[in-house]
Amino acid sequence: MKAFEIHTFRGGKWKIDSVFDDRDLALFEARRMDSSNRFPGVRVVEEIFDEASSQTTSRTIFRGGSGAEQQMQPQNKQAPSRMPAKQRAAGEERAPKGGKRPGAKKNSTFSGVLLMFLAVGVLGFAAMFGLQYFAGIHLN
Amino acid sequence: MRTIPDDMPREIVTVGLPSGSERRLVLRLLAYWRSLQEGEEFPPRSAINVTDIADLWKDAFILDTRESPDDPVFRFFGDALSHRCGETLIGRHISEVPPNCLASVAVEYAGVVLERRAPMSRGGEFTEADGIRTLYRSILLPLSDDGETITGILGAANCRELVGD
Repeated sequence: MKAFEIHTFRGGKWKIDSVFDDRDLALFEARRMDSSNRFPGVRVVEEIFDEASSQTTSRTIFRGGSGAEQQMQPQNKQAPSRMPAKQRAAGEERAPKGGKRPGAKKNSTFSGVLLMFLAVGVLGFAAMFGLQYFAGIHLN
Repeated sequence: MRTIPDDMPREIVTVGLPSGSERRLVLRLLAYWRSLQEGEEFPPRSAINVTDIADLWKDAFILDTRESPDDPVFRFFGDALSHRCGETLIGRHISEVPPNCLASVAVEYAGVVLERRAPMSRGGEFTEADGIRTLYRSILLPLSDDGETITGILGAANCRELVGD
């Protein structure tokens, strides 16, 4: 099943303007809207629903207002993600390569500092005891 | 409720349309609907002036979604549609539309329009009660009295019979 959605760029984001099941109608309307200069961006997205797999694939088949479109890209286009759609939809983040989570490095740094303080403390006490010991021998 | 001033420029599409009377109908009605928007997301029902779309009116209908959004009521039903369905449906719910008539296929996605809050056009083929295969095209356009809540739908549909196919 196919649907052709006209999207317009309004208020800083893309919104669905209208939906057609006919490609020619959608393209005609999109071109008409684009030539009216009413919107900084107009595009037609073809959505194909595969009933067998229950998956929807979409692709843009028309982009109007080319200058505005380029300005919109940084804030609207996301880098392609290899994360499964289900995981993306749930807002889950995958750990970076190597299996380490972002917080892991911070924890190891903290442990190192703690160990260093302990070592300095132990050495300090040892030095104090040593000095007292040698001072006692000398006085006696 | 606001009214559209008479001197407001309205863009009515009449040239350069794709071939086929079915397509011309939906695009012209969509252009008319856009001309009534006046900065709002959806135009109010009160803005519709039948004299603006006199030649389209016979194929048009208006649904009232205020009382029962799941089963809207026809408040207007064009003559050509009445002729196709064998009766006028004014005051009737869409659940009461006789099956296998143009109006039944034209309103079957009204719920999707309410859900998506956007104009939608669908077409295809259906078999009329007398067994004649017919190609149709329809459009449903949301209306709102306050610019936010959808309180009605302006729609239109026309068709042609498939002869010898």
